[in-house]
Amino acid sequence: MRATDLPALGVGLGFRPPLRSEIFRYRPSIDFLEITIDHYVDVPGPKRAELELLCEHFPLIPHGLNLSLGSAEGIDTAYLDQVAAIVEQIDPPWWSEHIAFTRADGVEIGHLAPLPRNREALDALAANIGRVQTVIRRPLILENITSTIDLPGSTMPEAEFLENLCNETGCGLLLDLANLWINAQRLRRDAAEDLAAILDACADAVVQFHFVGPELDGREWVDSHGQAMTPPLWKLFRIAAERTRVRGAILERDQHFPAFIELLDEIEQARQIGRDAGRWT
Amino acid sequence: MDLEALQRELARRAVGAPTPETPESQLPLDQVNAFARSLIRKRAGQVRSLLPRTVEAMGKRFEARFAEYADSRPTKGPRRHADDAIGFAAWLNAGSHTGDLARYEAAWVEIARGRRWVMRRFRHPVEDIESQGAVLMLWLRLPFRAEPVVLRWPLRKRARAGA
Repeated sequence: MRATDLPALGVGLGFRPPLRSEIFRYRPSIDFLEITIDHYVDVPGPKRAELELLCEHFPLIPHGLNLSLGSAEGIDTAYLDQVAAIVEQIDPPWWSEHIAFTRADGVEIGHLAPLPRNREALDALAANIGRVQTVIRRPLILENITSTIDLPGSTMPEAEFLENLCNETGCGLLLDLANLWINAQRLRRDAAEDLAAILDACADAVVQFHFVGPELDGREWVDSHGQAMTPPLWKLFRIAAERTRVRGAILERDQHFPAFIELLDEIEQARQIGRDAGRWT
Repeated sequence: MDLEALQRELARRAVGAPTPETPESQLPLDQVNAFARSLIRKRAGQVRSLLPRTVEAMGKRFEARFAEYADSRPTKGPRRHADDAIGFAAWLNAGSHTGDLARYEAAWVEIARGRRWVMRRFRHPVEDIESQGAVLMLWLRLPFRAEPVVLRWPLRKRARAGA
């Protein structure tokens, strides 16, 4: 998938119910919303009505959490049908999931777990994504996750793994800049160098960014979706905007909400960087 | 270690489920254990947002009590955070004020996720501490109405101040 085949959406916000009223109040300042698919799976009428309302007022991008695309045992087809129904209802230009597994041997982890970067994991991803693409015929983009576990069996660097994944599945990339930065800190690497390697390998596949500030939990950086952007993250954002043909960026905030105007300021700053790079108007 | 075996062991260790007898694990167990603890913290964070008054009332005890509850109780499905909140509320001592607060807040979670009605009896004041004693409450979801109707029946009057 080439990002330039898709429409440029601009910069938006991950929809969270506590932000609902201010999102509508400041609607002209938000180009699009990302909704979490799981929040609308098997829900009562008022929640379904919320999704319809959002559809009427914003371009929406559905974001999945639990398809477990990296599961060696395959995917849950009943859940896939539920996801498909929501994606079809929204009819988005693209949708997204994670490069991860969340389920194995009947156990749901409840969180995104990493995959070893090797041929076997690529084959599992390709098989599962192929199955998904026969059911959901919208462009799928895949997000890099944070990893705190050095799994045995990895045989290739992340950039090579992502390049192979995009080439073999036809998927685009959802580049989470905070996840990339956090992984680099844990491994004591230079995040800008890691980003450059990924962009050297597959810049054309990058369709969307996630951005948010990282949080220091004890001695470890975590992706809590609860902090303001930091200068190192803005630096990565600018590099990535300049080197890709990114079509949209989403600010991910789930907690520790500041005054809404502060979120709008971050959205506007990201929008301006994208404008400077010619990514959107 | 093939991918399926790796995922099976990682998933089981992450949620505290029993792992099959195997030769020495190839996983970095210190990292896996830290991952498991982070999952519990994540679940606690979700429950914190669903039962805010309960968590406030419990103070510093909440994290440890939730970890005790969540250990070996893996969650499942898109409603797992609501399940956690409801399960944790039921697990707390129902006779205590904190237990009543938790059951009160969990009733709202239950009705929000689609139950047609929920009825609860509270021994302790859960809404207005100044004016309310024991109460029977009914949450009722009516067609074509987004918010549930909530009915309250006081079960006994509070003694007058100074009486």
